[in-house]
Amino acid sequence: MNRFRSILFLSLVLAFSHGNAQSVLDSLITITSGNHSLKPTLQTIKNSGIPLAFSTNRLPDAEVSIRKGETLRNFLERQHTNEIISYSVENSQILIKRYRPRKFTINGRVSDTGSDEHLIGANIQIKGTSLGSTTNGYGYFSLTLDEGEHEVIISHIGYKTLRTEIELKNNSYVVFNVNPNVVQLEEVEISSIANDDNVISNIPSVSRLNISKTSILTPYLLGEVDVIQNALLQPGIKAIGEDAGGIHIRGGRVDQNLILLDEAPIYNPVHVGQVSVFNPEAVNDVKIFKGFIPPAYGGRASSVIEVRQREGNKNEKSFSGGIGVLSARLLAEGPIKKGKSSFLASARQSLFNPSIESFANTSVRKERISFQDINLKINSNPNERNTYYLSGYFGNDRNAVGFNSIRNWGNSTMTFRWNHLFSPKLFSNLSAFISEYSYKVESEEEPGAFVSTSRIVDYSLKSDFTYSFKPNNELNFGFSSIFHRLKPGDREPFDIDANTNTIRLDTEHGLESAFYISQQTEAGPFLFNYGFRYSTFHNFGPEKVFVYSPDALPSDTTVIDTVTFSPGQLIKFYDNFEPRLAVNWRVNQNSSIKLAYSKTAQYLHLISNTRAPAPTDIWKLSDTFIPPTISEQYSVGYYRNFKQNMWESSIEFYYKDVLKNIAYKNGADLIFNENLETEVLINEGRSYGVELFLKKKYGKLTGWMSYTLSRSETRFEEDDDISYIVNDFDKTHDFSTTWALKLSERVSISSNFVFATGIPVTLPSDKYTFENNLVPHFVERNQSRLPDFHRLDFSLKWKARKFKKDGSLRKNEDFWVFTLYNVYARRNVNSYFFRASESSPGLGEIVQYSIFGTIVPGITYSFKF
Amino acid sequence: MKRLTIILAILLFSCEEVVVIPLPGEQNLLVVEGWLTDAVERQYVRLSRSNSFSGPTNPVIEDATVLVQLRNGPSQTYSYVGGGNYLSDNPYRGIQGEEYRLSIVLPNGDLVRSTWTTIESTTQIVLLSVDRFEENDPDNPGQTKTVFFPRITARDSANYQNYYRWMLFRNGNQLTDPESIILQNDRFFDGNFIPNLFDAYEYSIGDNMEVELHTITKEAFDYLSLLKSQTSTLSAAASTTPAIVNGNISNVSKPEEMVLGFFGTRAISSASQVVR
Repeated sequence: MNRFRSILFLSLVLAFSHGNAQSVLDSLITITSGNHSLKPTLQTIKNSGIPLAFSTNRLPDAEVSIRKGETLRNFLERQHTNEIISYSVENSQILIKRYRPRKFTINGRVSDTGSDEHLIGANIQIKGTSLGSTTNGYGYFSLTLDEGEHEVIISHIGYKTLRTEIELKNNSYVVFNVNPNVVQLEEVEISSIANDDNVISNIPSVSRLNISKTSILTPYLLGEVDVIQNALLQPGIKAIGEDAGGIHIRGGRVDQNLILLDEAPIYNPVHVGQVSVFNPEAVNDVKIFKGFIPPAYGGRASSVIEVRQREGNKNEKSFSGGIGVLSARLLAEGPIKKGKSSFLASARQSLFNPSIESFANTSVRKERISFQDINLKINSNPNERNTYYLSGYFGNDRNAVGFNSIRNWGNSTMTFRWNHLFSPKLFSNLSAFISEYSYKVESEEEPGAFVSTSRIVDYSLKSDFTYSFKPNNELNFGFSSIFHRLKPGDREPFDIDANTNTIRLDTEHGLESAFYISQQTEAGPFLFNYGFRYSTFHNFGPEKVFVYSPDALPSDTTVIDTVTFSPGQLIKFYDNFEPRLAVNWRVNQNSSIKLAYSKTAQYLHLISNTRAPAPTDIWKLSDTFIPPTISEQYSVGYYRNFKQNMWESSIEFYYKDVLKNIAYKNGADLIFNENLETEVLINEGRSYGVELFLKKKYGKLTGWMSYTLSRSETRFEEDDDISYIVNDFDKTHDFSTTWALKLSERVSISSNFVFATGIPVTLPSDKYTFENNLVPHFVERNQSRLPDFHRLDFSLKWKARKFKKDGSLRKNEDFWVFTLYNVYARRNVNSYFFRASESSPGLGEIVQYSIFGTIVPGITYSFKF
Repeated sequence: MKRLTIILAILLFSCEEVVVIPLPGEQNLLVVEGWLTDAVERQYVRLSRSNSFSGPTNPVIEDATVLVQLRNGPSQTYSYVGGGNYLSDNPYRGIQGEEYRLSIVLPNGDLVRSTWTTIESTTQIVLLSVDRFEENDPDNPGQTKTVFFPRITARDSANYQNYYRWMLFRNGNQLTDPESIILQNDRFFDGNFIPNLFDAYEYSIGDNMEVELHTITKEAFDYLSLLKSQTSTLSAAASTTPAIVNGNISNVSKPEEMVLGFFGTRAISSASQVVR
């Protein structure tokens, strides 16, 4: 071979001086075709003036072939394909290295085959490796892999696992279409999405409720399926009673949950009791962050509940709906432009009005309750780089008492989102939304007839970016800004004859902004998710602010001055640095240990002095007197899956400190109070506990068990010696379990059992009379508890035949759900009240009150065509 | 909303049951009840003691020395008349704008006093008229009955924070259902006619309808509001949290010993009419 060296001859069609290294790659090699040694060949090329860079001792002693009339690029590519060398162009030099596979990024989305709807949280796994990714909140993923062939496994709960091969030669955009799983029973599909998500996710303490078309959540009271009801069966999530709508997550208060519907905050998540505003028909995915709050979120001290609406079928029109004792619902969806854009519209109307009227004893004093909600969504996916969404929610509740008093309240939101792929590795989301919560009370009662209104409106712009370096390594950053406008109350005469005055409380203005950056990365068996959020809050005018005597607590009598702020003038500024950290140590294939720390700040507070919030409670911004609430949570958990991920389990410990909670004085007057600060007390709270979770995900029998041992308590800051008092909603033990069993293709049954320690109660030590009113006298707050709460529910789902009598497949699907709530008719005590005995006045009697003193049957019918 | 739920539940499935549960130990606190009106009459004060919530009726205090002092003026002495009640030895009235204080010396020698409290100006009832409505008679299905109720014309004085309490009487007996403590402040109608709708207090033909409008102090209003919230709300999710009803009385000899109750003033205007 050496003999060739002397006769090697190389000429270039293009002189190097005429082009850069890229164009040099396209020059022809005129070395005599045939086999040559690699190193001398490269040296010859280099000697001819081509800017090759290599170190001889790192290259293999290989033989290469040169083809007649081939370009340098072609030659190098062939050597790369033969796995001899790799090359790259850097700084006008062509670097030659020992062979190393090249990396390419595949990005794209996972969609439902039938409807083309984006699937959130679908798992993409490369077979035989630990490499993988999960689709984000918009259904997108990005994964950087070695070139070549890979077997990809795409899994999503409620869908058949898709195994497919891809050959990666360059950066590419892929849409994986998966088919709904119609065989497997998905009655109680809740929690982790990926098969081993429980173990591998680096966001600890997330409860996930997946409400896809193929799965139906555990039916609850009166046969209705409800998001909040189902959330309450998860560890660490509680409500104070069966009639209370607010939820408490890891000892947090009801206003400390950031509830997002398609990114817009919902201020009152319930219609009546525990019937949530989320129409299950229109909801796709519910994620509850209980511990670690990703830096992209903030603004509440306890948790984030993220609800995403479904997108609508891009390929065919369909209708679904149902009717039950409580409500009737109908949903329509379909393509606007087939495969490119779709719409979804759904409406729900309450039905229990008639039942109330028939029970009401007289025609005059009857009470009428009703609610409606409407969900709308339009999305367009004109090309692979852009997706646009427009979604809205409009809810209304109406409660009429007697002839002439009507209360209306409701949330409305409108969100616009634009998902854009700048490059295969850079994903962006831009959202703009308006969210409003308002209520109106109309009382036509002469002569004091009035109309009072209150509203909170948020205008927000938010932007998020995700940059994926390589699998399991991505950077998230973004900003958000919310302009809050709160009208605490306007009260006007109902008409010209009414003897009431117009009262308008000052509108409050606040700008809540944040910037965040976080990285998810791995090092050995450790996965890290760390970053921070820097949040700011500006409270600005126009507003009138009272000045109180510095020596006394704020009260009506200590006002010494009033300062008037002009429009846009800063009244008070707060800012907070909120670090967040989560570490997942993958001990082995089946288990991991996760640690997390989150700090959050809350600049908005619900003003309520009842045990559970009322729809007419108002929200208040942090201001000169009311500081932001700050919370810090530490958690550690062990996660383990068994039997090919058929079973998953976890145990988690948490400790949470909450500083500057807002509380109210006894008998505080919170309605139309222009100086609320005089009724406010600041306290501090802490909560801690352990949560156990065990779930069976596959098979004829599916379900889970959850147990929480916890404590949540507060004390007033100024009293350091004073011990903590347990919170009203604290439940020491909280156990729930849900199982579903598929009996046949058409019949399945499910059952819930819940057990919880009774909530704290304050018992009177004494009684006395004042003007013949028997008054209970309470000494120590929350020193006793109600009796333990337990309840068993049962439901049966019966599907109509799939086939007609002639054997052909029916076009429609329909099913009935029968439920029994409180099967053994336990009289669970909701509360005690203390009153004078009717039979012997002057004596006190304790009455236990049960909301459901009996078994409550329910039935719903659902269809789809 | 809680109200809706409760109503929904009550109508459909809820239940109530009287129970006996262990309670914290009794405190036996002194309870003072007294009002001074602007009408010449024998004014009253009542003294009793709290006892266990599940215990017998409250014991009364018989041997105390009771007097009401006018600031920079004479005192009125009270004597025990039974049932825990003490009446002023002579009829007298509180003078508008003056300050009064209740002083008690208990049988054990402890001095107990209220804070100084002012008598407000009376707000006059201008007119009492009888209104009516028809409703289905629950006792006779298919029949309707006429319900009578009072409507009051009274004007609030402008630019002054007024606090009111109403009392309704049927044939001399105070009506306590649906509520015995009816309170109003003039935040929403300052300077206007005082809105009132007493259609929940039913009268029939031949009844003597009597209404009293009491102008009270802010302290009395706050006390009665808290008392009302602690005695009348159903203890469900909507309820206020249980609290001690703090009044304006303290034990001067033993400041650490809590005294319950209130000594207040009221300027009364009343009107009555027989329903025809």
